[in-house]
Amino acid sequence: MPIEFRNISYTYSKKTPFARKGLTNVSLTVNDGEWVAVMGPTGSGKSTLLQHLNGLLKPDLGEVLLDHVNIHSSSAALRETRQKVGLVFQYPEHQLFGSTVYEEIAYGPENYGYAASDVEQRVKTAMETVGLDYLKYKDRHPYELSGGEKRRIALAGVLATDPQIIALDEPTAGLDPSGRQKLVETITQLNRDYGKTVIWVTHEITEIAALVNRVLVIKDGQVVLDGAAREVLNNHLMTQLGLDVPVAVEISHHMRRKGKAVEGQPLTIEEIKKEIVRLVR
Amino acid sequence: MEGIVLGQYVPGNSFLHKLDPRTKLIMSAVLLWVIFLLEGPLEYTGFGLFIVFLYLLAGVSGSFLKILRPGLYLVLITLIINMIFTPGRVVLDLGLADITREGLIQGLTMGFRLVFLISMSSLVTLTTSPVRMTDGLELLLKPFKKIGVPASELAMMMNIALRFIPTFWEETDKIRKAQIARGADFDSWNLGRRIKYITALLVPLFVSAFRKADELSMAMEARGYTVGMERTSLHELKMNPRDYLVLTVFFISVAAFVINKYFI
Repeated sequence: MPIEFRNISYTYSKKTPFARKGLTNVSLTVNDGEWVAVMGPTGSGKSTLLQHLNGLLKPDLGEVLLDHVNIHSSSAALRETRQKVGLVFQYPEHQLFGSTVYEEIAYGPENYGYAASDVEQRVKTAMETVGLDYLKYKDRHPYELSGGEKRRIALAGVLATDPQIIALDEPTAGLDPSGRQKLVETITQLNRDYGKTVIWVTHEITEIAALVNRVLVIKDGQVVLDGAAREVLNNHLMTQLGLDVPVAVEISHHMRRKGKAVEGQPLTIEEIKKEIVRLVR
Repeated sequence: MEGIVLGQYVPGNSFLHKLDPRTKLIMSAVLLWVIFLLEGPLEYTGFGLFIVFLYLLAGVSGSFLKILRPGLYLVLITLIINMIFTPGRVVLDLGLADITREGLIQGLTMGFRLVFLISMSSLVTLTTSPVRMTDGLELLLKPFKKIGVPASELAMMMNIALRFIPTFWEETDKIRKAQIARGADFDSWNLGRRIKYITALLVPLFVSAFRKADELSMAMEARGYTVGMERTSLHELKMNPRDYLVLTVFFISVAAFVINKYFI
């Protein structure tokens, strides 16, 4: 199910001295099975964009269409949207409240009124997906687990309702390298094997540069770049905005400045290595 | 859940913003007392207009209704209870309950007093930044240090509390949204479900409050905060001629009002 933004504008704290623009006339479509990275300077509107995906914020102007239906057209449509679009907030482990891992993950499916046996099955599947052993973890207290484990529990809590679109706000921030890698692997699996659409807001693109289909860059509430990862990440606007680009891109920019004729738009270490070897010969 | 919360500061450059916080604190304390001296529709109207004038002068008139909204239920309940339970001449017979003339007057009086109290005390916080406010309070409390009042610690506690109101407001909003995204319905009429949702909101909020308190105390100690130490401040508060002028005019007016009311 594609999700489409049509001319979305949103202002925070309307009609007060604190009013500030969140988004201005944003239009975009994310299709089935895409993995989109959303980048932009702090305060550019990335989180605002995410919160429009499942109707947590209602646009002042324009509409959000999920599967060609306006998500704010009825409360049933909104409820369905929230089930279909899973949203993982920044530091989701700060939102844990359950006294057991099971209770925490079962919260979503229970809220949507699934039968008890169904809920259990969903919790099992979700925990398996994020790589937590069901029997070993289900009765543990979330607060006694490590940061990486907590984050995976929070992710499982969102996955338990089986969303078709998964939106994540800086999901790897504050994790150690192995935690990051595990999380990227989990999402890769969800995207590649289960065909889930992934919308991933990040400041650090290197870890997913080779995996995403598309990169979207937002500045001051407007989309300034949108296209294939390779093209967008090699665009000079990225460095001008002070955004993170993969090491390979940095090296190729640097080599070009030194007068070396780097070909193509290298994205990974492997690709830039080939170019360097070619140029040295 | 956005916008102005009780006790929030609206940055500005008006006359009221520029006054020393001590001037504003003293005047608002006196005015809160004056509210209880008011009698009759004329005086109430006068005071109401005075408050409206102050809000316009401060340039925060946009916040007026927002400030009142949380207190509005209290005002309505006060009004209704007083209208019904005060004995006197009946003006409206509703069968079960009668509305009396005395009750109506009593209710309106109380209601307006509440509105005045809320809007008057909010005006101080609306026009004074938390830092200046605590500096002002600390200086006002300083004379009481001799009798063991921990003035600077009290001021620091208040400063921290004020500082964290918007933070917790944001935190609440974030957690609430995260739970809504997982199917929570905070407007549900089912009491059992609602309690469950509120628990899911309160638990992470308390955890985050403790975590923040822990981090803050650690950061303060790391930067050498010791209880009871003599501290200087970066921005020394200074009473300007305009403060003395305003205070003089203010006290003469209040004195004139009181003398006129009770002694002539």
